[in-house]
Amino acid sequence: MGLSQDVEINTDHQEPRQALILLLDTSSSMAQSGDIVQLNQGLRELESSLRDPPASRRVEIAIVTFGGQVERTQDFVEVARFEPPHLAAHGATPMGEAIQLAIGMVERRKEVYKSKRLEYYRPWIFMITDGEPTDNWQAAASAVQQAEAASKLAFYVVGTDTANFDILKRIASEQRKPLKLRDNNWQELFRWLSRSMKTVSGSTPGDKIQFERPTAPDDGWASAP
Amino acid sequence: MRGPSHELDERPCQDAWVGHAGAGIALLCVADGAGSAAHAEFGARAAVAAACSELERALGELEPGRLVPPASASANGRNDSGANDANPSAAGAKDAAAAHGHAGLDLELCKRHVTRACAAAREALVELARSQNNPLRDYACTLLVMLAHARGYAVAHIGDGGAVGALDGELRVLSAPERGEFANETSFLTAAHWQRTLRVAAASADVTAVALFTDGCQGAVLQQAETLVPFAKFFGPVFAYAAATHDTATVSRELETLLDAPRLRAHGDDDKTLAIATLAGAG
Repeated sequence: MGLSQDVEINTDHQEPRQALILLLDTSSSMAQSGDIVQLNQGLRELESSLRDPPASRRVEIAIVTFGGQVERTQDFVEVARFEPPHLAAHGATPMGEAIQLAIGMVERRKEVYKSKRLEYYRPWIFMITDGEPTDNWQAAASAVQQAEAASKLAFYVVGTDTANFDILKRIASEQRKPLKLRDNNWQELFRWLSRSMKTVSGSTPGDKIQFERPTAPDDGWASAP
Repeated sequence: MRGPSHELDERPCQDAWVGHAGAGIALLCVADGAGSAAHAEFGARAAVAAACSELERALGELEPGRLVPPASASANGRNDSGANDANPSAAGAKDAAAAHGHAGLDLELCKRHVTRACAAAREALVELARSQNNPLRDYACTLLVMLAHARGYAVAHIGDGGAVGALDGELRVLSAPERGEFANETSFLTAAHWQRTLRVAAASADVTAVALFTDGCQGAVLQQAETLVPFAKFFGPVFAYAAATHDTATVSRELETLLDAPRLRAHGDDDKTLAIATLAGAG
């Protein structure tokens, strides 16, 4: 009698993907301030807090660092298989080149999703810096503006106290203004990032995604520069 | 012709459905209220109620035999036979289909009616928003409207979710989920330019069963092959069971168990609605 015994469902169906590129400043000043330690700690915390499904199967993390040279430290990997690297800091800040690389990686990742017929959420690029670009950043800034205007991705810019917000404001889009890390609250920054990733990757059509405001006066981790 | 809809509705959820059967025709309407909309569940309910009653009204006014015209001009003047005075429209539709074997539905007429049903659903939401003094977007929902007959079907669709049918012995996707570029985006009936995202499909075929389902079921009942296809191991047994079981309450109960099963639950915590109609062959 029972219908349930005879019926199978498609369990092979693929999870929708949420791409997240962490675009991290690993220039020498990050070592001097000790921020690199916080950053490494944050990566470990991000990994452990996203370990549960569905986020673990949906969020894909990639890491691009810019310290001396631009490096694709981690190519896209599901959180379930992500092992946080130990980042070291040195050299100048080729932020412009790093931004261009990250935007290109997002576009190529979308092509992979499309070819595998995977559904995906709007990819995030999440940049953290304590300084200012030492290379040409204008082209990168207009690439960010264009990508945001076309809703191709979400580009977040976070700076520490020492960051040059005059430039960061010109890189960030109108929709997503730069955020200034408050009280060195790295821990809360990464917790917020993790919660946001869970919110997006768990959303279905029509869900209004309401992120917590990083700049909330009481428990936010950032201020408007 | 038997069996209206067998369906499933867990929780006081934001999905809603209505079904109606009679005169050889099955009507099914399914809506999925947007999670972001403040009164989505009311929107979804109002939409399916308005769409279905508009279809019932329109079909009730049709002349007998209008929906399924004679197969050819040489067919022997059935139109004026008018047989059954007690229930002329019901008898007319069924007789015409039966007598003329492979006569198809009047597809243009059917498409017009399912389209109008969507318009009626939207008007109902506009009216609801006005009377409650809320913005229209508070009632955002997707909508699927199906008119099925043993000789063909017409479906109108805004947003995600989808329609599957057993046509000429094969399982087919009759209307596929619409998605924006990103997985959490789709279209809603409340959009200003809702007509632009309205998709209407119709075809003549031997139809034995149709199903409408909301987004929550999508991954479990569809399969991405070269194209998006119905998951045969799901719809095969479900349609067979629904066709063989005359007690619709039993079918509903079984479907409910099925949709609530842990393996389907694992597919997400979104509301799940599956509405099925089976049609007896007229030939």
